[in-house]
Amino acid sequence: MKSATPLIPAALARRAPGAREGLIFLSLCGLSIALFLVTLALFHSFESRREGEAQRLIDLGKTEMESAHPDQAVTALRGALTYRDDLPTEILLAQALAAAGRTSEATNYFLGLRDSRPGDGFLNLQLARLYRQEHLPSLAIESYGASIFGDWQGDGALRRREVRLELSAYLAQQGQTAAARNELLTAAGNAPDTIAYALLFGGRFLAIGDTADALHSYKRALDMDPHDYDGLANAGRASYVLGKYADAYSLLTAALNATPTQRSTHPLQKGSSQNKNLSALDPARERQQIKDLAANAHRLIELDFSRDLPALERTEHLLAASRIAQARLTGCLAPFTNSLAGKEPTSALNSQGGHLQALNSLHARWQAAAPHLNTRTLDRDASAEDVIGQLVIDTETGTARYCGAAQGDDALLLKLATDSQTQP
Amino acid sequence: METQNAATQTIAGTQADANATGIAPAAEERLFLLISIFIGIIGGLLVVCFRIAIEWLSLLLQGPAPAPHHVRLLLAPSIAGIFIAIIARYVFPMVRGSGVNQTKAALYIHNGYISSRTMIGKFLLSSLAIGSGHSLGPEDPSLQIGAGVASLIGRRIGLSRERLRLFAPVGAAAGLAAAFNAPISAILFVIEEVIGQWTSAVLGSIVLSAVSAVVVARWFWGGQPMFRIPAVNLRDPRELLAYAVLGLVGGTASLLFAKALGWLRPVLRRQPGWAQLLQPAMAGLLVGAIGYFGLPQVMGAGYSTIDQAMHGQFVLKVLLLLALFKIIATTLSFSSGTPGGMFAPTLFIGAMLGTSVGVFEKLFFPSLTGSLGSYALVGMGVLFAAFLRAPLTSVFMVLEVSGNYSIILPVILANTIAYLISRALQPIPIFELLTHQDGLYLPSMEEQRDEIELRFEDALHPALVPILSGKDTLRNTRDLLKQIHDSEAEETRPPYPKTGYLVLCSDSLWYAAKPDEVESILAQEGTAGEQSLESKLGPDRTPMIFPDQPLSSALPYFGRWPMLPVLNRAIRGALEGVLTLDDVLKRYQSSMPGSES
Repeated sequence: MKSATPLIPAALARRAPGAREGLIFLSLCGLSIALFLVTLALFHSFESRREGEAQRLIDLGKTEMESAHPDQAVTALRGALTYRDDLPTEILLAQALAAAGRTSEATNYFLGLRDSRPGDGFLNLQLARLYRQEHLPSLAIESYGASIFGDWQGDGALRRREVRLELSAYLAQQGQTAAARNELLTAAGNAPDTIAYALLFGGRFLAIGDTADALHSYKRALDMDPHDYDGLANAGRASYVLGKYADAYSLLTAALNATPTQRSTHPLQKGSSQNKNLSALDPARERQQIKDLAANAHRLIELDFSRDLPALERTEHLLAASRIAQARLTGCLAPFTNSLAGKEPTSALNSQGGHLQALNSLHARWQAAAPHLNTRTLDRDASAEDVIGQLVIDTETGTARYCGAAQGDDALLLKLATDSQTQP
Repeated sequence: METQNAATQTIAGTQADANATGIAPAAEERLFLLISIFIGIIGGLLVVCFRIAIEWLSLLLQGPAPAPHHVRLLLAPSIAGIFIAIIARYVFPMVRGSGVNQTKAALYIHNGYISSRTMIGKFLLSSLAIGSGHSLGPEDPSLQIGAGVASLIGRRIGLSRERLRLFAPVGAAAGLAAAFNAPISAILFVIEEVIGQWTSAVLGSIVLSAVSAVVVARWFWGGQPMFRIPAVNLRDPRELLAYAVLGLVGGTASLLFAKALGWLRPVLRRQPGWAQLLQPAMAGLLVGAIGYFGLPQVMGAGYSTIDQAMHGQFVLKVLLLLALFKIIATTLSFSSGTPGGMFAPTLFIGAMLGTSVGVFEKLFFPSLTGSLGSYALVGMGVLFAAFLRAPLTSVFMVLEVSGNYSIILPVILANTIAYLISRALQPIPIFELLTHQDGLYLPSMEEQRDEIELRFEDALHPALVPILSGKDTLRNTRDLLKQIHDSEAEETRPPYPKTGYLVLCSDSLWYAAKPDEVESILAQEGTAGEQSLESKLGPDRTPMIFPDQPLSSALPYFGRWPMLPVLNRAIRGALEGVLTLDDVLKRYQSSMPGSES
């Protein structure tokens, strides 16, 4: 092997040691700079190739996702990550994993992302949805909460509202109605005062069975636009459910006179059940439904015998209801009477069973109340009115139980009976 | 044979260079630190180029997104293997192996010499091997490339042989630090595995070069490690049991890996020359087959797979399969003589095993188990400690990469268990095993760490020689010595050894006088009878040595002194005992295994 050529000439090394060191320093600097420039050029060339490859794979991954090929998307996006390791690509990959049904991997991926960004609202939301798929409700609810209070890019208030709505629907699905209501109330309280939101929240409250809050939301919509068709119709329905028949009648009648509103699709309303009833029906059927409901409300006003009514009106309504209830009872007993012709009802009871006993008991009560069934008696005796009223309720309830579903006025009286049992 | 010829020529060449340029030692001192920085910068740049080359080749040969049933997974490593075998045989004969042992050989045998040809060959062939899919890592070759840069620069500027030898680990640390993006781990590994010890002089240079290399590498690649580290945590102290299990698993796996390498490599090397030319290609074909039929993750270094494992992207069965087939693939690639390293495969296997233990724990003890990333990280440290036998480096590597000290307890626990298993069942570390297979006998760093350094206190004995006072007159001294001789003659006391005399001087220091030295002074009594003894002895004093000092440090003094008084550190001049050359030699002899004490 030949001896190494010294960097510094030997003669120079002996004569000028300081110059020698300087020359060594300069030589090494020059070498470093030259090598740095070469490396930089190589690196830039390499990076541009990597970037191009990364973008190609990301685009391929997105295309595969849109084509419902999540497994291919996962492969492409994994490859993209080796060339461009950034958060958007990682999120894309995690979403592809979730779409491919690889829930456990997707969860682990999002958990890893969340570890580095624990306050990210989007990541927590994705985790919540994955936990829902994995039937882990406590973790899902926790993640929803973290998402609501997390950081969001863009319109954070809108995103948080959307998450609250999603959470409330999930809570309702889990049977946690009170918690669902709380979320809806919070979201409604923070939402802008617009008709669209009022109607949306009304529908959401209805979906969880909170008709009172739903009515409140619909009335808020009507405060902003008293002639809004959706507001009138839904408020009318809600009032009807709550037993406020006068309000229901006026609202539903007003809805029949209003023009249906063509609303642009609001992002929040995508997939919402708010307008399920309305949107599911064609306009003609919808209109007929409202008309029927209004007619029922009107008839209920006529049949109502609550204590809120003036005395004379109540008496008249009670007498009318009595006639309807007795006719119902007679019709209910008729099959038994015809089959046991010639026998006393009591003997018929002994031979037919328990429900006949109940019906016969009602019959006996009507016979006992017969002397009171006149205007003069009822007008003077409030307790008699209460007895008659209860007898009407019991008759309609009993006949519905033993003789099939009530129809017509009997059905309306049954509704009044239900209202009296559920409402204070 | 090639190694020995190169060594002989190297020594001659180096000596000639040193004589020719003749840099003064003082100038070398000044240059040493400065050049260390440049070694770090240049080594870092070369390692960046090395990594670029690997990734370019990987993109070209394996494709952007390797997946099972891609034919190029079979073709790329096998065709590259043919090319590598031919080039390595006829152009770059010294490039086989990982690079760590070759650097140690350069240090201990060739006075720090690594040829430029070897460096270039290592760069080209390792990048081709790893880029084509062989299951090897880039760190070990980077270590050798860095050492080669240091050797080249050292030779060019005409450093002395002693400095040139020291430059190899300086360059090695630079190369490894740039490849790993972890300067502390690189420094520790070089100290722990390459040079085995450190002095303040070389440590400063190693640190400077490693830091310079990392600064350069991070300028290009950024500060993030090769794989993303998730949050690591120790959720419950009972989790340490799980990490203990990981230590057991890792220790067993490292044993399996070492046994496989230890068996296959000599088998392949015993084959005829024409068969050895085909071995890299066959290894490439088999590794490619593993990738083709379902596990392309085992090909190449595997950092992206480590990243995926850390983020829980694999189920338990896949993790175990990956660990097993990575052991097989790396054994094939390395044993066939394909140049490339074992760091990355070791980390890969450790990460898979660690994550699998974590997944298992999560299934049965979900409330006790922390993140899978913690297990993967500790697993990497475990294999590093047990297989590469670098326990200190493995602990700091995990800490450096994770940046989280809460992981230190599990790391230490798991590493210790794995290391002990590995040592008990595989006494010879893997690097040492490979050097023995190559016919070299390099110092074993592990044995050096285990050696007990002897100290003065291990060899000294009470002072049995006459102790004289330097302030005494010569007449009194002679009278004292006559009394001693008379009592010896009358056998009223045993005779003193004829080693000499110890003289306590007035300055509380000692003088160890030879017998004839004192006798010749006393023979000159006459007009000098009233002078003090120490005035005739002269100004020299025996060196102050203390019981805790290394025994070997006494040897230079016995040329001048017949014995050495060992002093007490707390009380100036107080004697702990005496040490002679005979005592030192006997103590060293008694410390040899099998010797009679």
